[in-house]
Amino acid sequence: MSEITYAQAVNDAISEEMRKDETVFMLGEDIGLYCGAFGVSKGMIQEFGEERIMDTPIAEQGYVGAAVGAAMAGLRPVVELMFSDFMCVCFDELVNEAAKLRFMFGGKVKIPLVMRTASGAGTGAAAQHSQSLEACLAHFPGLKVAVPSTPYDAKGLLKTAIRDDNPVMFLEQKTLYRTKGQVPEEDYAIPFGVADVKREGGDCTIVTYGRMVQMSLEAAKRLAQEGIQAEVIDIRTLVPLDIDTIIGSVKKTKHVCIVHEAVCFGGFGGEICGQIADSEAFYYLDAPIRRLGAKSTPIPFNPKLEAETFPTVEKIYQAVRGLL
Amino acid sequence: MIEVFMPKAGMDMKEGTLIRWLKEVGETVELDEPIMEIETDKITMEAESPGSGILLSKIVEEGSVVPVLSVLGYIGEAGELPPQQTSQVMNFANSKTEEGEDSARSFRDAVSARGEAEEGFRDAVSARDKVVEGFVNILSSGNKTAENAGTAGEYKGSIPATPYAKKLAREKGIDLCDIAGENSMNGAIHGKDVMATSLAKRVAEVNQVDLWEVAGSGKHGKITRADVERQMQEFSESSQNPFRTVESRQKLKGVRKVVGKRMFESYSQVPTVMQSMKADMTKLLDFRRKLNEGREQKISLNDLLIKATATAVKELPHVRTMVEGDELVTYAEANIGFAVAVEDGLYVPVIRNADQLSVGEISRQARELAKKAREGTIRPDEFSGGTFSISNMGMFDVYTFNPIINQPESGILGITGIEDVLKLVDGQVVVRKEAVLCMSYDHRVMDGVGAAKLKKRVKELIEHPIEILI
Repeated sequence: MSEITYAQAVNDAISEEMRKDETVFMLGEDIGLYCGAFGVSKGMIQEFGEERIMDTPIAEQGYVGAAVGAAMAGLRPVVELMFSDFMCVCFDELVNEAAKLRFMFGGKVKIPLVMRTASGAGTGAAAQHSQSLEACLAHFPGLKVAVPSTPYDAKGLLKTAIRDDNPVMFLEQKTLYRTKGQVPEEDYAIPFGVADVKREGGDCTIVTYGRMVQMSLEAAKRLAQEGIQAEVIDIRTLVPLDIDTIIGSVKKTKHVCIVHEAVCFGGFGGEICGQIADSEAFYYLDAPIRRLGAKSTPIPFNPKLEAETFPTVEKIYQAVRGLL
Repeated sequence: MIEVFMPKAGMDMKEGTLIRWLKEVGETVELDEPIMEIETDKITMEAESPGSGILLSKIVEEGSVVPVLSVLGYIGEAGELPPQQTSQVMNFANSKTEEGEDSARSFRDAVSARGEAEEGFRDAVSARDKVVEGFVNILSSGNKTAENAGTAGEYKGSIPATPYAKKLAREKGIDLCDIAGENSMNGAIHGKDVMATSLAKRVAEVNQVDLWEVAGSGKHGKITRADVERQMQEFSESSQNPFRTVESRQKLKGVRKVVGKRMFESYSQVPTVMQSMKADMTKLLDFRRKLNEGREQKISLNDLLIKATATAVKELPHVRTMVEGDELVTYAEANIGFAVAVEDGLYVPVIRNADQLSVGEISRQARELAKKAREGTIRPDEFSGGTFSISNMGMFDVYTFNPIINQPESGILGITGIEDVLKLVDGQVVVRKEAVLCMSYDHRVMDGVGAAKLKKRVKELIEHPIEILI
């Protein structure tokens, strides 16, 4: 075990896979000498050279399309899309091509593509560089979606993503890149579709992922001081979704609060909510299902307004108290 | 068929707690045989059976608070069936016989609302806020009504209840129509409403007990107040102080519990002020000695003090005055209560119109009431309706004390032990007998001067005892 940052964990996962498998390569804007906008690929161009750490023009449609083609041709591209907002530029490549080709060719081609991208707000990057768009990605059959919340999960999930023969949307959390955590030195991978129960409790289930995991844990700590035991579940991957863990927990606690940074309206919380209501857990609900997410507004540049847009520890704490 | 009902033991009694049944369903009961134990806000007592026969049903759970004259169960012949719930509900609805009985009225509201649709349910919920566990228990004691004839757990119309509450109700065979939700959210029924009585929920909330960890022993496995309290006791036993050993542990109950509750209410709700005055008892003691010469039933000092106090109270209307809501109400009579210690508590029997009675009659009544109190046979009517009270601690050599007002009276006069003192009278040192009059008064009703006026008058009568007889 060693303590490393979330960014380093991502770097380690790719580097280790690149050393083992020469078909793995990276492409994206300024990922070479500049090491990417968040310094993730530090030292990689020196180790793997320009052919495997490939700097691209500012043309998402072009290099994501190239990555889809490379995947079809047998390589394992890892794309770095500087800000997740820019996926809107290459939506055709992701949605109409990457997600569908394996099905449309009757399984004759595989698309082992990883699209890594920096997602989320909290850096003052305003409306076009702060969104959390995972809900719309999860909506398309054929795309897997992972949102790691710790360095350990980032490394373990990314290895699984690189080894997967299907396109994986890997949404890294901008504000978590500098956070540190214990990560094993030996090789490990975290399977998709297995939620992590971060904290056990019997009074209320908080279902969350990404940046909100840590905040939910802090809220749970405050609630515990008042004798309220919250169970915090980090779903880790939206597709596939570990609904069984959620249902089991809701049956136990009878109360559920879903927290994500993405806009609440039309957000992934609605899907979780719907699956709970569709399941046997419905009969155990002793209060309405509560959802917390960002307000329906383009994310403001003003840092005070930005902070006001998203769930906070206080809002999570109040939401759970209001349920019980 | 004979109805077993909550007796109205005293004019002031509006509701009572059914502490426990003394008979099981199917057992034979005789007329006037104790059938249950009840508690009013003043006393715990056994209530007698209104007739002979077999106890056919108990429709109210132990621990429930119900309005007076509510039907609690039925006595009849073997094989006879107790009436359907509908008629029971009617009985409750008709149980309001006294005007101004808020609890009975709100209960009737709840019952009539129950027959209506969803909107009515909300009225019932708000009506429930005014009442306690009893009504919920009464409601849940019956399973079906005419308009709700489905099997338990199936609901016509919409009752706001969480899926979990419905699941629990289905499993336990409880009809959700019979439960009033009291959670903050929309007045909907939640799991805890099905699992526990309202009182149990409140007790658990106040004492921070986790209801999910309490095993229910009530009807349908419902958690009752007693279950919550048992859990608390087990917890406190497990977290005992190692330097203290519990010698015994008793439930706070009976007279001790009632006295404790009333004293706490008085002490915490009334702005009580203490005021003391010395009184020369020499002449009164002398007077008593002369009165008792040749008398078989001796007049006690207490009897004379009751008479003196009654005379003063009758003369001073402000002492006969009480706070009732936002009004000051002055009562005409000088009904004097006097504290009697019993084994596990205290009674304050009342001598009515004591100012108009002879000292001999006061003595006779006081002796009889004190005896009844000590034997536990005193009736609520015999210790209610007082307008002022005294507490004589003279026989215990008490030098000074702060008696607590017997609510809602305006004050209480304490009398201490008598002491020989040396006094200067006309330049001569003389020996006198002296006691202290320790008065606690309700400052909402009177001020220091008012309290002093009463003691001054009592002191005059004590020091010129012949006036007591006028």
